[in-house]
Amino acid sequence: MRSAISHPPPAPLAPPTHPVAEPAGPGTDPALADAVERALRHPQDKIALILHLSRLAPPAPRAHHIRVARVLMQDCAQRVGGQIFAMQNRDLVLLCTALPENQADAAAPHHLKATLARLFIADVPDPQRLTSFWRLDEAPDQLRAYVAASAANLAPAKSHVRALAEEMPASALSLAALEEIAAHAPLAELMIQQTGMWLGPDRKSPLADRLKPAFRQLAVSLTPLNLRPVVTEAMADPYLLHHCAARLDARLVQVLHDDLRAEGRLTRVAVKGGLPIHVCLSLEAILTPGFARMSRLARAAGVRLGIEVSLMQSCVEIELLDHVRSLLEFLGFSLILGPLDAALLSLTLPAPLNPDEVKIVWSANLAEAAANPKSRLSDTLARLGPAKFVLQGVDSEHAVAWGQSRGITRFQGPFLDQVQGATRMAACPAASACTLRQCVSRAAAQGIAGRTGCTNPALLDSSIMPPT
Amino acid sequence: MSGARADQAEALQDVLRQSELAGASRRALLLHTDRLPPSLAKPHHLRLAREALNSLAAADRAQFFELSRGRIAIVWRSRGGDELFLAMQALGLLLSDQPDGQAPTLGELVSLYDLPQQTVWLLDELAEEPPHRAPAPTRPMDVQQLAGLEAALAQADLAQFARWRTIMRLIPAGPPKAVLARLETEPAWEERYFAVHAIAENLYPDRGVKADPWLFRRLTRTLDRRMLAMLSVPRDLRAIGTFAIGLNIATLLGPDFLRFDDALPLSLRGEVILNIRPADMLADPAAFLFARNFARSRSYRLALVGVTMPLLQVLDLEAAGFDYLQIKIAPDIVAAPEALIAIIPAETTLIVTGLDRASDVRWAASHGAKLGRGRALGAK
Repeated sequence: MRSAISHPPPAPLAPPTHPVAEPAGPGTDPALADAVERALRHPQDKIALILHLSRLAPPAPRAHHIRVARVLMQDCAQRVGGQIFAMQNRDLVLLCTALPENQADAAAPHHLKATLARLFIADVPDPQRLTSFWRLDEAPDQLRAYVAASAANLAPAKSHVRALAEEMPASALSLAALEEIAAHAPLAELMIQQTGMWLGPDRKSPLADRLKPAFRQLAVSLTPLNLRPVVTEAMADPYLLHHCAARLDARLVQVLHDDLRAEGRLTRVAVKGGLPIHVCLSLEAILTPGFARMSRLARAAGVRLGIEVSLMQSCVEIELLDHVRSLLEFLGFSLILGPLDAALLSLTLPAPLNPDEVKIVWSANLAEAAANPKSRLSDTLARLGPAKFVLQGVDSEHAVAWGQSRGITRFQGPFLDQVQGATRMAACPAASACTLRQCVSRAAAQGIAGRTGCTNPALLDSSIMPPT
Repeated sequence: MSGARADQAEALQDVLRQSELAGASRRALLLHTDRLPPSLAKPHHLRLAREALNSLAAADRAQFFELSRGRIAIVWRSRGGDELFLAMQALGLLLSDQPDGQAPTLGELVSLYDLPQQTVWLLDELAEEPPHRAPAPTRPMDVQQLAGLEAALAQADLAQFARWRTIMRLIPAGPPKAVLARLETEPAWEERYFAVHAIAENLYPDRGVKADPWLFRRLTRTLDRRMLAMLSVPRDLRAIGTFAIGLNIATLLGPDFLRFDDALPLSLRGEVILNIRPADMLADPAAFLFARNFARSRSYRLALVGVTMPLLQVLDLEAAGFDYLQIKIAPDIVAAPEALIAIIPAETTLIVTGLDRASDVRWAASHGAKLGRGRALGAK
């Protein structure tokens, strides 16, 4: 369940976000233009330091990015006499007096540039690109061009800021709503699926012809509940989210149990050695009688289950993981660690946890880390072997090509959803009434409401057998 | 301990010793019936718990041992897959009789050991003294009680719950070979914290504040903010020396910490240690890396606390970049100190806690610990 919310298979389950009011008053674009023109009249010893937060990929910049960067820049402005401007696109601009390069003061502008870049090492492959440092007497045109581009609104106009939980004191109301969801959300209606694909090394035939289903991930999407912002904000707290997910897990296991007993649609594709089914569960949920009952039915039906657990919980409750591993080993189910993003992979060594499979999340940072043969990621790939990996969050053919270059053969993500959707639409006589986006969204949904509009729902669940 | 049970405990220790000496592969299960709440510890429950283990009697060379406090140990050969699964399932069903949160989890009720590698863990568990006070309530708070507690904490005067303890510097005196004989200590810094249990007992005496680990971690953020507020008075800050506080990453990147940072006197810049827990580091690794580099830019020192040896095998300490690693002395560390020493990067200083005996202190000092905490160090 955990990943259903925090790391969704299809798009509708984006992490909770909430808009932050645009900066207003002094320090927006017009004020900057005036200040730049004034500074350029006497440009000697003046510098501009720009932190291009607009270059971060959503959901960044996060609230703490802006808050902390601003404090550091403010410190510098106070030390050397300067002014900060908050741009509409979230960039921060510092106009101030330069200090000599040999000045050791950590708040000096030339040191601040390096400090700011260091903060973002986990967020972009090349954090140096996030800052520009211009001496006004040497590069007046660059600053003028930046101001002009801002005025013309060439930079991204608006972003959403995901706040860290400390900014969101969960009210009793939102917490009560969270409990209500955990206890009563109609899970059968909220189930969604995503098919992970297998892609062999042969690159001669078209991509769509070479893809074969490898597994099906089942999860719960809370998006159809149209949660009030106050609730999604509470769920942005990873600990409240875990609490809620742990409670939902027991109910998710019951949904699977009921579906297996009724030979229902959720698990039909998996019976008698069909597609493996992947489900995210908390460690506690795997050690419940409910899981034992469900797994007995799954084994009897020949269903292969892969149980995905979070690396964070596995690390802090290693003894519990040992129990889980023993149990899954006995049942013949796979233990999957995931989802692991580039930042998590840079801090951990998952191999000693002895997982059967590992799901890693595609990003430019991931590719950057893997490019270094001495990186932890390269070491992890080599130790576990590429056959154990699934590349998640695949959003382009480039991501697939990267995975293939590392020997990975299983992929999951919106790009593959679209390829499958296009294949379905090519075979569907009623496709002319639908868009690709609608087809992808309906294929993900398992509830009746989510499939409304499709006149050929059998095709949404169709699947061919995985390679042997 | 009754005579019969003492005999059984000795018999179990014999089996463990033989397994260790012969290098014979075994598995052991320890059922902690003493961890069952009163509502699940009635005679019929205990009988059911014992019966749940009967399936393991079919395991290869299974031996049962009745231990003190109603605990039961079983040792057998091979993995015991089918038998173990059935036993765990039966125990899980026993626990499922209770409403949510009123029973221990299966993981709390049962410990599994791979022998001979984990013999020392099992021996340590067997040697544990019985608890002298009533067990903490296992019923967790629900989120509404959490909201109430957070609201109460935001207003309450927490000064009476503020605590501190001293991290001591271990200073070898004399020539290297005499290190064990001559060891001096001096206070290095104070760790400041709130007595969470005392706070919770005051407000919700019938609930286990840590029974739901996720809600407990959430609660620590509120306590972080109160601690920072208490410490953000420049006049008070000037009166204290080097100190450490435990913070969540979200707190470290929040407005309360920035206010604290703003109020920090120049004399304390570089003298504050921020204790970070692994769960918080891994819950949002990108935020952790951001926070780490921010803290460094403001001259804070960072300590990773609350780790165990198995966890250290999975963390990349070099990449995490902590100034200090704080670990509690434990049998697995004492048994294989080289594993710990090999993991610690050169730039990270080892702090060993739980140094309650003079021999612990000598062990820590002779295995690379420069700092320590515990009753044997004479400080609070």
